This record gives sequence, C-alpha cells and structure tokens, in this order.
Amino acid sequence: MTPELSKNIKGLISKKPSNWLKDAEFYELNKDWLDKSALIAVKILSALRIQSLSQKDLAERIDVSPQYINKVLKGKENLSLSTICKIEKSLSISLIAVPSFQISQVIEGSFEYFPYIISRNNSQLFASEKSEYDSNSNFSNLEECIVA
Amino acid sequence: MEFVRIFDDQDSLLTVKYDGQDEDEFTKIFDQWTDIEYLDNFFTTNEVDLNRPFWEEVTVEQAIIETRREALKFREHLKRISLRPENERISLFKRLFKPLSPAEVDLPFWNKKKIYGLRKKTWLRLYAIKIGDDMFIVTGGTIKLTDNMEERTHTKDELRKLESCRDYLKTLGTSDEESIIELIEL
Repeated sequence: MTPELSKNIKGLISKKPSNWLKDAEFYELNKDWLDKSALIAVKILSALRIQSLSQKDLAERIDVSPQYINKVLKGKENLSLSTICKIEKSLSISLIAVPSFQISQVIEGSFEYFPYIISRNNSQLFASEKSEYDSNSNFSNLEECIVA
Repeated sequence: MEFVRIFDDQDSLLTVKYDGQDEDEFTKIFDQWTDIEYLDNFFTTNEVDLNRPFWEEVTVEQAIIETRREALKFREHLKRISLRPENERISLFKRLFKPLSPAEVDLPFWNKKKIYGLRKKTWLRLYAIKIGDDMFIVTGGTIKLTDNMEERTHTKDELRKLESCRDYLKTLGTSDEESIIELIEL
C-alpha cells in the first residue's frame, strides 16, 4: 500500500472502537439466560405464525406495548416469569417446564411389582408420585425411576 | 463512510461504518445473525431457497437456531484469533479470507474477498476488500442460500457494498501494485 493511501485510510478511522467485542463479552457473561431467551423467542414466533397472529395482537392480549414484544422476539430479553406465564396462557403454548418434584426412599430387601413382575434382590427405589407406579404407565417410565 | 478498527491496533482488519448507521458492519452483522426476529423474518421470506435439496429440508425454526449457534461460535473463533500474537493473528486472518469469485483470484489489487462461516454447509458470509498485503476492510455480510449472489436482492446488496467501498478506496490513493504497474507503463 502506498504511504498516501495508508495515511488517508488511517485518517478516516473512527476514534470510537467497534462494539462487537463488547457484545461478545456480554454474551459470554449472560449466555445461560440468553440461550433460553432465544429459544423462547423462536417458539413464540412459530406460534404466532401457526395461529396467524401479529406481534401487535400478542401485545394487546397480554397488555404490553408492541415495542416490548418486539424486544422479546429478538431473543435478547431477560424475561420475567410473570411475562412468560402471560404469553403461555395467551397463545396456549408451553414455553418453560420445571421438572416435577420427587422424593425417593431406599427400601432394603426384595420387591415384586405386578403386573410387570420386576424383582430386585438388594434394593429398590420408590418414587413418591403415584403415576409412576400406575398400572397404566409403561415399562420405560417405570425403569426411569428405578436406579439400581 | 468511515472505517472502524475491528480489534487490531496495526489496522490490518477494519470494517466500514456507513453514513446514517448506528453500528459498523461487523457489529451489525453479528447482531442480525443472533436476532431471532430478524432471522425469522429472513428465513420466512426466503423459505423457497431454504427448501432447496442442498439444505436438506431444514425448517425455519431449525435454520434460526442453527444460524444463531454458528454465528456465536464464529464470533468466538474470531475473538480467539484476535488474542494471538500479532504475526500469527495476521497470518490466521489471511487464511480465512477466500477470493469472492474465480475472477478475483488473479487480480493484483483491490481484491474482493469472503469469509465462510464455520459449518461444512454454511450459509454465513462476511465480505471484505483486500488492500495491499496485510489490510482487509469488511464491508458487510449476509446469509447466502443461493448459488450466485446476483440471484437475490440481499446478496446483490452485498455486491454493491463491495463495489462502492472499492470505488471509494480508489479515491483515497493507489495500492503498491498499482504504482508498480503505472511505473512499468510509463
């Protein structure tokens, strides 16, 4: 590059640095909730498309501004549980799920389960939830709550 | 138009900030690639191209998630390169830039370049003008779903940006190679 070209280009370089590195660092520090926020936005946009609704319709349904919905749909908003629940209800969709609370207890000795006939000689874990031992539940579900 | 340092004090990698824009092109493109609403709008508008067999029947939702994931890794990759010692950094960057088209391979100066995203089948592209041996100016980037840039408005816009940046740079002076050629012609 000629000195003239180099000098002219350098003369046009902004004193303000690029923001990309700041954005990258912000993501690194907040990636746990940002990744969830992005997936939530994908799901909301998909529901809006399927139900032929606009962002404005959703804003009206949950009584917020269209600008706020637009921010949410960028997938970069730290959403409150209250907002998530309102959106879930208004679109009849599920956005987040919390694993159900389980209490387990180790019982020594052998155990037999009917009608699947599972027996263990040493120990058996019981889950507190009735559904997991319901005769209608399938074998794989039952296996999930049995940890040898 | 002004130039913005991407991270390098030696000014080997710059980007453009167009008049009236809030952000430089490098920051803007990574912001778009991680903006779910932007991506949803883009892939729904270009769903016909997304349905080409080459992209293996990816849905709009999958395309959005994959684009964001790849863009974040891509940005992290560039950030890691930026932390390397100067000589290594410049040589790694030079390797990332590929000629925009076969016609650009043999051009002695003002080459149009592109950088591919990280996936084997990637639609992410950054575009740049190479000046001299060690300077690159990123003019923009996009999601390219078709074979040729002339096929779609958003890729044609990137070609126009490359052209206008190159034309502008030419008004600022000549490259070394041009000077040598001018001397030979004299």
